[in-house]
Amino acid sequence: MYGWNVQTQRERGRADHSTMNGAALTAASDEARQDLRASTRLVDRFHAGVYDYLCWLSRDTSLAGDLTEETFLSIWQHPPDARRSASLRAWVFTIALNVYRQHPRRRGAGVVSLGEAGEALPDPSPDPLSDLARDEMRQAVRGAVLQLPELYREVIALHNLEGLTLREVAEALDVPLGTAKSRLATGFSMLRRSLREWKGDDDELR
Amino acid sequence: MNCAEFADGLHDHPGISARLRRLIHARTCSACHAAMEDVSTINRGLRDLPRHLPPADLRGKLLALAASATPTPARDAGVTGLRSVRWGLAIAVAVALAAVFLSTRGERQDALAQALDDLKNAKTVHMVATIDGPGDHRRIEFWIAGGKRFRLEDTSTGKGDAATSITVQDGDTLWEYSSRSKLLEVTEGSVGSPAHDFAQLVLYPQMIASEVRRDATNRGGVFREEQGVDERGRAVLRYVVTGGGQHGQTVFTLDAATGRLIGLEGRQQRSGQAPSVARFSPIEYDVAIPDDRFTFVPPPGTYTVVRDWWLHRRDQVLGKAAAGEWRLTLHAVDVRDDGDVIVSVSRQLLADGTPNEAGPPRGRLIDDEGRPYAEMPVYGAERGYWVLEFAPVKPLEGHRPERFTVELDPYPPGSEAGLQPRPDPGVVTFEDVPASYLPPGNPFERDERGKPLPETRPDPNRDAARLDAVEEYHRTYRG
Repeated sequence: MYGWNVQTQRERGRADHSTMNGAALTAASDEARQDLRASTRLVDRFHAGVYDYLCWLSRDTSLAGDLTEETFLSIWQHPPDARRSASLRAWVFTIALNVYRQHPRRRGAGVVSLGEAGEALPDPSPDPLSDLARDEMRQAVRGAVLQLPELYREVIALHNLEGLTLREVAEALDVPLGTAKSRLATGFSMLRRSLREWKGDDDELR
Repeated sequence: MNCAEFADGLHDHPGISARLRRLIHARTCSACHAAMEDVSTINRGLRDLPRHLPPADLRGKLLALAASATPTPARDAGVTGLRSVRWGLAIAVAVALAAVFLSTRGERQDALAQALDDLKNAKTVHMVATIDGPGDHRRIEFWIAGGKRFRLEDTSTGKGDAATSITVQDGDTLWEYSSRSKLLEVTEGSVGSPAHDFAQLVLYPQMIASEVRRDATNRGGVFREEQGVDERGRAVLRYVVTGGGQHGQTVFTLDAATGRLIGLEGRQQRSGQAPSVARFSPIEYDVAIPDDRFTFVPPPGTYTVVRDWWLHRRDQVLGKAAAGEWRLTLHAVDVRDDGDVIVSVSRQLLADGTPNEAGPPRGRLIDDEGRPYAEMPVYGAERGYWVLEFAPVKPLEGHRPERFTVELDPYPPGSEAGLQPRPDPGVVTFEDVPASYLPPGNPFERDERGKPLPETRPDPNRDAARLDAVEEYHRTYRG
């Protein structure tokens, strides 16, 4: 590299440049462990997404920061299995998920009230100039996602918010592809119900 | 298609024919139509959700964690590699010290925390660190002013002749000089460097400490407090932490009268190796530092490399595009000797006239033979200026591309530009753009007279990144 601040953009709804085979994963991990610059790249590539994902999971920005640190510590300390053919991105999110699941401050897998969730996870950018209706919808969607049971929230966060493919989601969750699809469908159906309740009628959500 | 099949594929991303079948079914089934519309609305709502942006210091914490958690073996590498390893070790030592610090508790920790705060808040700091490890002796002298200006002189006498590295940052320019290679790298802007990272870590030990909190608390460690007099006759408090992971012993020395940290010594030992000892002493506060400490005048015979691509490209404009809210300028399309193409582009938000720090533009590239190029992970960025790299999807044979069609999306979906709704038009196409050919290697690995510099270490991540980009291209554009 040439001394620039390297920044990577993880674009929602579009796959990242991060599919590698097992050997490449190990090489990347070894490199990450041995070379500060490689570590920098890994951090630049994933830390914002991991933090965002952990915010959605934990519903707590402070905890998400701590868990992001634990995730990367785990990444540095436990390189992936070279025999595993996997997406680097899926692997990183697997670690994040495992760190979250094992954490004692995890807030439970069930439903929380939006108020409860909102206290620890403030809306990142309430824009006073944005279109009111659109902003209301956005807030409603956000609230609905935060109230989803964890099982479904983790799938929607990975697929729809972090841009992992369904195959990568299945890999990150260590479940069959069909299960990932089914959880996504159930999660959407719960979102749909929740948003229809918010709209106060049975019409379509538009 | 029936309703069950429709529902089953509701979240898939099908090809055109499957999509048509679904649309046809949705026209004939109001329930499925409503479901499809709802999914579409929810998808749109999800896409609109802004990201939770990580705290500003999280990146630095993670990098420090990487240094603390990872061994940094010495290797015979080029200038860049050696520099990275050397600073990696220094950072690891700094982090290790902080980790042990964190394993202490209660009032003593408060006293240390206050001492570290004083260090951080001092107007200026001058200190000398020595690091003695297996086969290596280093002396690093620091001059730090306000966190933005610093100078580090690092002399290593471990192997062969003594070599000095000097790193200076004046807030606008970073100079990195190696006496061994007589190479001076100049980087415009407040960009980072390993030495800069180290200076930050030294200035913000509590930041480091918080990164390793959970790890450190598991390390245990025996804490001892001593009172005494140092060699200059000052009453001092010594906090000694022994044990805890790899950290043999760390001694914090505070001036009893002022509570300031005036010395720090840490020992690390890996099994089968001689210990590494780092000593920070003296540590002086608010001393007068002449301004010329924060600039660098290269000695005669120095090769100077200006590392800012922007400086080389900003005066050239190949094309411009503007919308209501932004302006995009295409500065250069450079073809490397290996066929990769580097596109230099800048982007500006017109609302406040400032460059925008949001994520990079995205793009596609097609050469004059119709051959596509896949976008690689972003190469570099500085204050609204972006360097994008593209790899040929298929290896180039024969024809040497001279002109390109460049498609750029200044604010791609998901961009954290804070522009919602997304500005139109989404994609700008520059056609028939002439390309320049770069000389073999990195063109800026030459001095200003065109003299080649010592060969640097190849980037091991590069090939993997190229493969990733091509795979991604096939996934995105297949069919």
